[in-house]
Amino acid sequence: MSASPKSRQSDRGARAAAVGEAASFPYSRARAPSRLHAFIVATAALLAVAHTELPVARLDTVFPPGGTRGTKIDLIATGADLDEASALHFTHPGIAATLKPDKHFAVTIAPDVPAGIYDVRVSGLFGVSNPRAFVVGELPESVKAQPNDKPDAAIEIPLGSVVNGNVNPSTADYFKFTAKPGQRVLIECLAPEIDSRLSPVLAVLDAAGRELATSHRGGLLDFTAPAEAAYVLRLHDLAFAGGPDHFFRLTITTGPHVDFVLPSSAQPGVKTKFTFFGRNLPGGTPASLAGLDGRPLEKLAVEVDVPAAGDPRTDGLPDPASAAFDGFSYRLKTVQGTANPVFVSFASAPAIAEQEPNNLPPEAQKVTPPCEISGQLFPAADVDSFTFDAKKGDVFWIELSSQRLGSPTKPTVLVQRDNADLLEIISTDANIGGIRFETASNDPAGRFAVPDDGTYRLRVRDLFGGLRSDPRSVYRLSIRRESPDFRLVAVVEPPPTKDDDRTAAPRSALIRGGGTIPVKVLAFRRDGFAGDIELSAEGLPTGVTSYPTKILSGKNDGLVLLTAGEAAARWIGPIRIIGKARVGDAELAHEARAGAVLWNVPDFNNEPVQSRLTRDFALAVSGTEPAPLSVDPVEDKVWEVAAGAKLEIPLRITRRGEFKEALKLRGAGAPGIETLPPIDIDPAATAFTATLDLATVKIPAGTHTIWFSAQTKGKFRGKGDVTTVIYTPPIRVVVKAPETK
Amino acid sequence: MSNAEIRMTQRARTIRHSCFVILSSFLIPHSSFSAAERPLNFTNDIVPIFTKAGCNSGGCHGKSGGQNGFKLSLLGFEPAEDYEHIVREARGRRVFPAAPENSLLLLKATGASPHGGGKHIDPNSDDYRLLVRWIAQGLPFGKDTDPKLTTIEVQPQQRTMPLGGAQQLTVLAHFTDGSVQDVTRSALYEPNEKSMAKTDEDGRVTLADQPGDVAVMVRYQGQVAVFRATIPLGAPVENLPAPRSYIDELVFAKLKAMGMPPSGPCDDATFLRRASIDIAGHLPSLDETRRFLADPDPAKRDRLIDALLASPEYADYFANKWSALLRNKRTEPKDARGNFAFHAWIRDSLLANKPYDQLVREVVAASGDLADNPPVAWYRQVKEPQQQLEDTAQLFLGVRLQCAQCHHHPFERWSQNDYYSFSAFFSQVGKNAAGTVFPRRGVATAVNKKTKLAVKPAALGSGPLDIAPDEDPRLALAAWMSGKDNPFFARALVNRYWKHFFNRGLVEPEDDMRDTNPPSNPELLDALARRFIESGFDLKALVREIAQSRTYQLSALPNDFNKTDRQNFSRCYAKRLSAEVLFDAVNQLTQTPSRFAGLPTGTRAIALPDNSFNAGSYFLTVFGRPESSSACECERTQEASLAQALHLLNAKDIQEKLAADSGAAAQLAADPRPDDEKLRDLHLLAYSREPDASELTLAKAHLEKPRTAADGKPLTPAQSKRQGYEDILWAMLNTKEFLFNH
Repeated sequence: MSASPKSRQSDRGARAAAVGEAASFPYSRARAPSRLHAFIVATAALLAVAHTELPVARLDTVFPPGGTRGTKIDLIATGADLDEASALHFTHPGIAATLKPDKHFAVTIAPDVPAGIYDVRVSGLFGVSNPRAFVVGELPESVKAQPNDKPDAAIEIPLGSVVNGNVNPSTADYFKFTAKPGQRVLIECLAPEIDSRLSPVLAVLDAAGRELATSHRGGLLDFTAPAEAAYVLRLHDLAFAGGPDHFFRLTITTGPHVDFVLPSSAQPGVKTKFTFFGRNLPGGTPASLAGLDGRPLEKLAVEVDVPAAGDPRTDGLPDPASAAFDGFSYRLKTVQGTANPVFVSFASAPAIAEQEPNNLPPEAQKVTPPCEISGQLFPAADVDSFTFDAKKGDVFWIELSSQRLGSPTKPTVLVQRDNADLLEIISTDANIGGIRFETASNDPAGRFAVPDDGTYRLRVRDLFGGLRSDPRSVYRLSIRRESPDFRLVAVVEPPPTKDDDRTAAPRSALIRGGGTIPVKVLAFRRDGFAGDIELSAEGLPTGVTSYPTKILSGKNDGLVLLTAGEAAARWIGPIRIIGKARVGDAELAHEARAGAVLWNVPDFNNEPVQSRLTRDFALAVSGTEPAPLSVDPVEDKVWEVAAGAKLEIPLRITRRGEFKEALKLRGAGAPGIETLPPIDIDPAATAFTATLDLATVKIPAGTHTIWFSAQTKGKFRGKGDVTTVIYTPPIRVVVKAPETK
Repeated sequence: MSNAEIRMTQRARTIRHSCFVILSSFLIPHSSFSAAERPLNFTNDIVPIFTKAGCNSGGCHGKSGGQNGFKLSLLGFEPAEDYEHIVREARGRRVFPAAPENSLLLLKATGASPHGGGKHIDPNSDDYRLLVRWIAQGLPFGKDTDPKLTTIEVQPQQRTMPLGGAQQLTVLAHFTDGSVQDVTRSALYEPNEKSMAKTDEDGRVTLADQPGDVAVMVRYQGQVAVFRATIPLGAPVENLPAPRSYIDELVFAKLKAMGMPPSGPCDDATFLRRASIDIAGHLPSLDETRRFLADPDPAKRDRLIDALLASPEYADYFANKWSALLRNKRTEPKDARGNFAFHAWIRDSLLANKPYDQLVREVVAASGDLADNPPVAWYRQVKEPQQQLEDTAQLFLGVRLQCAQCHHHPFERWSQNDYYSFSAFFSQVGKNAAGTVFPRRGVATAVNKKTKLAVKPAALGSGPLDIAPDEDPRLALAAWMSGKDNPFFARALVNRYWKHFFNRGLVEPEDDMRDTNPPSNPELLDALARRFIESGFDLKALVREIAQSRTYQLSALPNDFNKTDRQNFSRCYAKRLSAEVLFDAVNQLTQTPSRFAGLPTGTRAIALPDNSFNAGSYFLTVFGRPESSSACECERTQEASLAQALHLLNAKDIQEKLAADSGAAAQLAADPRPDDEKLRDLHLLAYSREPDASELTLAKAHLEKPRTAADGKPLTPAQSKRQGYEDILWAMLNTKEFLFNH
């Protein structure tokens, strides 16, 4: 499943409609407030996007957002702080770019690059940008080059081709194509899936302008031509918004499209037989079921070599809530071309296929935990029942994965015994990423401690499925022994510029010489895992250092701090952030996925923040610019202190730019340190000694990595006033327990 | 036979009938013993006095906070509370059993003591004497074993009456012990058409000189009954067109019974314009009009109806209607995407002719998030279970339940228990901050605010349902609504659609269907509903049947007999174009496209997704486009106003449209064809008909007038011609023929 997270989120709060002048006020007097209002809104918007942070390259669009493999294309990058933009960085080595004037690049896509969605970033004076999706395809492509906002200006597109374009505000785009009677034409408009702000609405019209097929939800329109004729295709945004950020890739094809695949999980490294359900599947047979759009589906069984490990650099699940899944994206290859990707998650056991009928308790399907079940909540109001035997004292975690795998569901699991309800497992809506990187999902997970020897029953249903028959409502049900674990996502967030900061913006990691930056790491804890997670960075370039920090027990986020030496050379590349934790005797280690906000949002109360998992984590070392202000411990060593004693840490303050404010340093990184009162540093001070009085700041005995940070303002080259938060490098502290007598 | 003769004959019939009723009333078994002989019962004997006198009305002591410290339950629905307030509250100061006549209650009611409400009870009346006796008896409340009121009955229930006739009603109350009591004097009377009948407080109905049907609602202590009078005109009804379907048969049968001959059939031009507006919300284009008028095919009207039903504009127009009723309101800018999505969903559903029961089910039982399942947007505006049940009842069942939240429905059989039982269907609706809707697991119940007791879900007129905790109670509600025997669901829809096409519902207002507000043609309402159910709730089929009927195709021009007809559909009742249709029609006539903020130029007003565009269009506001704030069609104002007239006459935006460089006047002035031809086109566009000779002569004379500029210099012939066409366009769009669908 590859539904975009944004298609789910786009209406959580909608974007303000375009501000325009009222259409027909009868009296000129009525216009004045309208103009004034528009002015205020526009001014507020300008203020909201004014530079308030240290500049870091921001990429808004790459156009075209994809190309045919084995071709060379001209690509233009737009965004902010792209001064001296000079290189593009793709997540596939077979895609390479050379600089041309005006932020244009000549991009060469090697013939062996597999069809897929990759990430591209642009780098320049202000580091490396956030990513944008870049699609490599197999079909010939074109770029919309002329206005087509009226049916009689429709642009002809041949079947089996791709058009790249963007829609303009308050308009619809028109294309035309010719199809033979009975030909099943699939029109797919990639937009949210490739980071666009467009919510595509598609319609096929006949010569008289009558709508023959429409799609308001998602970008697929499945149309079987009733006669040999020229058909008009209309495309616009759901709310008629538009602009360069409303780009799209429109594919018109008789090639394959996969709606979903069963089983929904597989064991890594094990050859597995899958059944693909979709449209235009060569060699497929009718599946005797229809998609949500009422169109018939075909099915095709294929054996797939499931890889031993997933490759996050292509396709994948973009929803932040899906970060905890291990798995792989697969594109079905047929004689008619390569299909869209589907994601298959990795399971620890072979998937048991759900067997209907199992709606009623007596029909419950017998399973033996621990196990993995692959099922489908279909048709409407489907209930799947499973039964298993368990012994008193057994502890199972029951987790259902569906919405996070891209299904349009809100599933629940009810645990019953002898028709009595024991436990209803529903989604907790837990969001560990905050409003800027929302990780809440509809999927339920819960702990079931078996109260007595006996037979238990699970009843699975979809709270969204009372009326809806959507065969894409597949799920994976794990019934596993309690096995605490975790997964991580690393996110770079801009520092807040004020206490009530309701902005969100794309951001990436840039360290200036002598500076330290934080990378926020979120922990998805599994099966009640509550311990510390030690974070470290790997693959750092020379001159960049980091000491392990922690996501503390009971917390879901922590920071990794990366420090560049004053002389660190310019560098751009992917790095790895690793989390380690001890569970019983075992040490678990996982590499963090990465995530990013997609677009600037002036006020997240008025507009939803769109964010996604990215296909790598990129770091830039400036090499040319120093950090305007840094505060460092004078010595890089392990500081030791006895519990209850005072620790004095001499700090050096280096002001390289026009950052002249007094500082209020706050401590973090160890339990209890947040109770330390802020440490005031005079504007003129170049040295200061921070004192940790462990008689009042109760940091427990043990090894800790702490740091200090302060928000400050200053002037920065050519970018006016900026606000930033400066961090000290990590400071290692050992608190020794008092000797017991 | 003249109208006067008809009336005389009818009057003679009335006298005969009245004699029969008076005689028969002597034969009715009255209660086994009268109030004079038995111990008084507060509920049965005393409360009705307050109701009749208006003491416990909503404007007086019956309002929720009472009046000047004295509170009675509204219309006496809670006798135990009233007893408490009269007898015990304020340490019993309101009644004085030792000297009943000195009771404050009586001194105030008779006006003997200063009373803000004035005198309501005559000291010489039976009611007064009864109150005195009750106080003297020691203020008995009555015993649990005392008989309780079960129903009331009005006699006669139905009569055919002459114009200007009169009828005395008799109202009988039936009690649990089988006794019957004449409560004519205590009951309340109210006609549904005040222009057709008047009632007095003793139950005498006097008719005006208007043929048709009138119903008189009779109320007594929470019970209602209805008297229906049919007042025929009695003219000969001959040469009726051959009925096309059951619709015509039933309408014509009624017209025959009424003695009201229908107008003749409308001509092709009128039909084309009427059907295009009613089905697709727009004037026919010039081409469509030319083709239709020239088409010799006798089936061309049917073909037109089918073509209109297949057009995207049909979906636009009806989505515009439903989007308002389903409260697709934009309250904040961030609602916009949900508004667009919900509107698109409604429109697509109508375009695909989704069965109506399915459409309603998908709204009422919507689950999911807004992007995946747009009808959950209904729950964004209709937030609380009370609103959900009230909107469901009013919009889909034609029943206004609002009153029953706080007290027994005054005009209906619905109690507070019915209200809260109905609300229990919505008790499990779960929502999160993002607007996602889903059914929470659990047993559906609601608490009756009055009794504080939990009630199970129960549909109107049905018993309580046991719904398993895993089941979404809304699905049970939807299943009940679309059941083939449901007495409300299909009737409400066909009545709503009937009104859309005829400008008057068979029940009026269309969403206030109750026993006491009967349909003007019950057989037709039943037949339409039955047919709609049999069709699988096929909306397009319903529209097709209505539009194909001879009744729909009658002329708006009255004959000698049906000018005052407002309810028998003996002719077409002209209606002002709705705000959106008129807006689009003006743009079409003046050839100036709309410019709505954020939408493509030329977007039709009937295709607007929500109410937010009203604020930017004085035109739409002044002509009554609704704000989608309620489930009531009445939110759309179809009345005419001075502001509307002034707007069309001289508003800036209309003037700009007339004077636009790319507009119709400029185009016509530059068009080299003879003026005759161009004026023909204009008439075809505005009225779907050719101009007559006098219209042509008048218009041409106006075009040929010499004109001068503001500085007094003569205009060039081209400028003069353009101004002339502007004037003609201005005049045309201000004609009733343009402004009305007829």
